[in-house]
Amino acid sequence: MAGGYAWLLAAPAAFLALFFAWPLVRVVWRGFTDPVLGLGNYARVFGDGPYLRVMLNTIETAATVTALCLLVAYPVAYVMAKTRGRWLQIMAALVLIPLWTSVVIRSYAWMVVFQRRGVLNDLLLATGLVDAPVSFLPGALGVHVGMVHIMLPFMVLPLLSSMRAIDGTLLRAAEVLGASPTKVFWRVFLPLSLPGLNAGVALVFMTSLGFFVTPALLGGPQHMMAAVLIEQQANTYLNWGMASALSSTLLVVTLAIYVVYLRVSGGAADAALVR
Amino acid sequence: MTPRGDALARAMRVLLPCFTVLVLLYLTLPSILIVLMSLSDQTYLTFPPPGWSLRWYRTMTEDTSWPQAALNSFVVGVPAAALSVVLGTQAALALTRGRLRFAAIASACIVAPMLLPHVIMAIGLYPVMLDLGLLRSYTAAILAHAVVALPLVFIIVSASLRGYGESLELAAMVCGAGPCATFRHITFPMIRMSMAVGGLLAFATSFDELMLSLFLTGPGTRTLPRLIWEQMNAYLTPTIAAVATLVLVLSLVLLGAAALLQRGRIEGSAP
Repeated sequence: MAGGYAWLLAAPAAFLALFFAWPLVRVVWRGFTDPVLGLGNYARVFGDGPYLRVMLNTIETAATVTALCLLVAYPVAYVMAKTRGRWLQIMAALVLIPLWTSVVIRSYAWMVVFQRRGVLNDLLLATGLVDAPVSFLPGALGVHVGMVHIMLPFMVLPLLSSMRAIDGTLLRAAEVLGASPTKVFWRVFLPLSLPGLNAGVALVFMTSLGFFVTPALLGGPQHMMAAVLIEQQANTYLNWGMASALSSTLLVVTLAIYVVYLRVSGGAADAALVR
Repeated sequence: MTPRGDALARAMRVLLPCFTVLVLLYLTLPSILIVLMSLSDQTYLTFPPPGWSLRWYRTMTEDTSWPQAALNSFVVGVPAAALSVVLGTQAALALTRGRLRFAAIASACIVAPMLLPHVIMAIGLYPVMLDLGLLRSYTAAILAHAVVALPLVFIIVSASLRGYGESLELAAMVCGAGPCATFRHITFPMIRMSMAVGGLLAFATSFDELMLSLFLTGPGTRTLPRLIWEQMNAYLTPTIAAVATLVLVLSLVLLGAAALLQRGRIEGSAP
């Protein structure tokens, strides 16, 4: 019987081979062969110049966003895990709604907040904290605030599902045995929430590496990220060899994180990421 | 928690809910801003708007490119979601019921398109679609969006299949039902809600996808996110806010539908 089910894999496998694996092979191949065969593109990616700086900035930004998301999402998920009934539903809806709002549009909203005559400057001027409008754009602040806003639900949801699965009797047992609430948290609750934490960190880090809209709109040339650079190389400069080499580099970084995550979580990818 | 506890724990019981309220405000703030700005009577984006009007909604309907792009988004999104549901469900059935030796690796490969940066796939799919003569066609965008949306269906349907176990299917087969009859009468009724939720999420993914559309669609087939993106780089007017508000409303309707379906799934699962 099980053999019959295996045949069902044929169509999805063929589809993904043609429209997922084959394009990736083409990208890697092109990075080495366009315009001429060799390591020329990679010499430029890793040599002096803006390319390596952009790649490092991409990793740094993704790491910062992941850390900020974790710091903000953990307490929120904790409160949600302790809440029941109507309030939980309201909080869950408020976390989910931004997830369903277009990423392009949300970055646009942050532009309105951070621009020279924007909401934040109005607020700062009105309260007398500054005398003249502060120029936030382009800048790291906007990129971080905008990216954390987009990634936060992806951190809250795995954490929440992990925390809700924690057996309350374990916490009570620790308490009865004399552990202080702080100790119960660090020694019992936190370790039991690690699967959700791992899934959230992997999901947010990998997605952050490929961010395009937010850094393009709010970051400017000083805070350029890999996806912006790759799009520019291909669409503006028609330098597909360079775009492919940069894509391959980004691919290797992302896959490395994916493999580490799969090892750490020790399960099938789909089960590990279920939210 | 018992009333006894250290000072830190007591402080946390007050601080954490306050912090949560602030974070939830942060999450909802941009959506509220967009809706308010779409009702502005000014050409320049200011907040709060000096006066209110619906002129930007009128501008949006008068410019034919917005309705065309919205239509394109549906022409791409619906088939892409359908394709994801068919292929994603097949993959889920094969890997949860098939007892394959390389199931863990296979599932990692099926989930990967969702996690890899879309720009890499866009750079790779562009020449592939060019070779196939599909560049700038609806088909190119449909196929590309199905690749990135398929993992969502796969994850959701797999979870549902694991939740139900296979005893009912085995019982049907023991009683003489063939594979097709078993799927139609046993498996499909169990997982159809998950398939529907997966399909909705797949549609939402396609509806919000920018990077693949940027590379694979043309002026006649460009989707809504691409048009918003192009307009945003040209001029910032409240028309974009009006479009965004309508997209938000549509998303909330879809979210509500998904929530209702999921509730149905949970109630339906009770024997």
